[in-house]
Amino acid sequence: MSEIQKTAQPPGNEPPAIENEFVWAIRPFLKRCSIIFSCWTTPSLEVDTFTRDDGVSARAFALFLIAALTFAVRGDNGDNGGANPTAVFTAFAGGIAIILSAVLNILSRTYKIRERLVISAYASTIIVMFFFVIFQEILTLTLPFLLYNSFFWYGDVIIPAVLGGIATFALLLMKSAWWDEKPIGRRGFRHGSILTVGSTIIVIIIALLSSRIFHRLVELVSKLKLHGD
Amino acid sequence: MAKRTILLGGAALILAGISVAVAQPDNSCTTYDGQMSGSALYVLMACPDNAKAQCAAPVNAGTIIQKGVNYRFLYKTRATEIQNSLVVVQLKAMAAQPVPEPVAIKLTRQQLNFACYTKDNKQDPIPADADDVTAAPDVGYSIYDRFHRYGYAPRKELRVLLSFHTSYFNGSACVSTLEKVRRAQFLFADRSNVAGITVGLLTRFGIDTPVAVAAEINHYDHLQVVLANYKKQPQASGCISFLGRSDGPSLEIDVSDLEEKAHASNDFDRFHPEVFTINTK
Repeated sequence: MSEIQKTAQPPGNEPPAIENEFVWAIRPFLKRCSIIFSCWTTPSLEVDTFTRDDGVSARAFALFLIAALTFAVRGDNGDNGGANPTAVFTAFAGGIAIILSAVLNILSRTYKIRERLVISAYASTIIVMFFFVIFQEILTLTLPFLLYNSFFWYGDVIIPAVLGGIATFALLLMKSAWWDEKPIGRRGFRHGSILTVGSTIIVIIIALLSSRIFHRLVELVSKLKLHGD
Repeated sequence: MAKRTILLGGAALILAGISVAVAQPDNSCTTYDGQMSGSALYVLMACPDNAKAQCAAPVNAGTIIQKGVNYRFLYKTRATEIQNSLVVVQLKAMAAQPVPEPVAIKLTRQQLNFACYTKDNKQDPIPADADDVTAAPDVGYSIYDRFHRYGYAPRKELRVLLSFHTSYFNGSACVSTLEKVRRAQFLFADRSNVAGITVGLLTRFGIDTPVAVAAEINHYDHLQVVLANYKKQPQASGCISFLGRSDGPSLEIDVSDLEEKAHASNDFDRFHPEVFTINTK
């Protein structure tokens, strides 16, 4: 009886069950994922249905995914002879985040692009990156001569990137038509193609950029940001 | 006019002479064929009874070569049904003391006359003189290992590795040196641990952890891969020839015949090279 009294808590103050802790912990992650997923559609004409804070956190999460995928796209594990692999890794991630964030912010301010379109661009880039890695890996191991000899020696980047862009575009149209149940039409087709072509170009740049130039760019952008503040 | 013709003719003759000197084919296999038996490695050395002549001496526990001197090695395969094959030769020169980081791997590929998807089925050697190790491209050890285990590398090294690897006609079909079992023969350690596309992708995405670099590789201060080839009649032996040297206490030569490995019946035969160790003085 006394044991029960000692451990009993007033109603409403019970420690949450482990399952609830888990749900509580992953809820923000799921929310960000769902915002990114809902924004990735064509044509994207709706007004933003989420708060500004949610939009910012979804963008930050998308940016984190892009930074992580950068290493996969570049076939780089951060231990390619550098003195401090973790530092190289972090510098790359930071660089990608700064450059992409700055470019998209400038574009959205200049052309008054809605938040959901910016998130949609991030989502497209993530998916093209994902497909790029898959196609490059498969083609390297199955058709290496094709990758090596084509497109004026840039086939190893251009072929998987273009295939990734086409796969992303097809997926975007299917998602918009069947999941979002939207009439795609000419406008949807145009929006979708601009989105995927832009993302494909970003992925090609990420894959082609030499490490030296990339570091220079990161330094330059960091200085610009500091002066801007 | 006549003077100009003579000058041009002379220049052409000199150029032709230089090109013959550079691209002189090695015919040691034909020359020493009678002295060799199958599945053995030979080194060309001064004959015991005549120091001015060269003989093909079988490599065994008692073989000693001089430090810092280039030797020509000949490897004669067993008599098999194989018609065309590529042979991966790994030259590992032991360092006097272990090196702090694994050294880069020099890549050389000999002229190939039964390549697929090329003009005339020919593929030029890498470098232009396949015996010139100083001109050979190199790739960092961990990148080389990861490429052959998981199939990816940073772009600069990917270009080098894609140019080094090839597709060839083995007598019945066109096969690639990047097919799983053949790719495994290029690894310096843990050859049976080669991933397929799915595990390769998981590792590339950072979901799966790549295999750690084998510690024993730090014992070598020169690593080189020679991709040699032979063409023969069924039931006959093939022969390859390559140069090797060591500046340290010994030289290890690992030989893997890609077609023999691809058709091996058990994992031991499939993933273990023939190993020859030669001491130096």
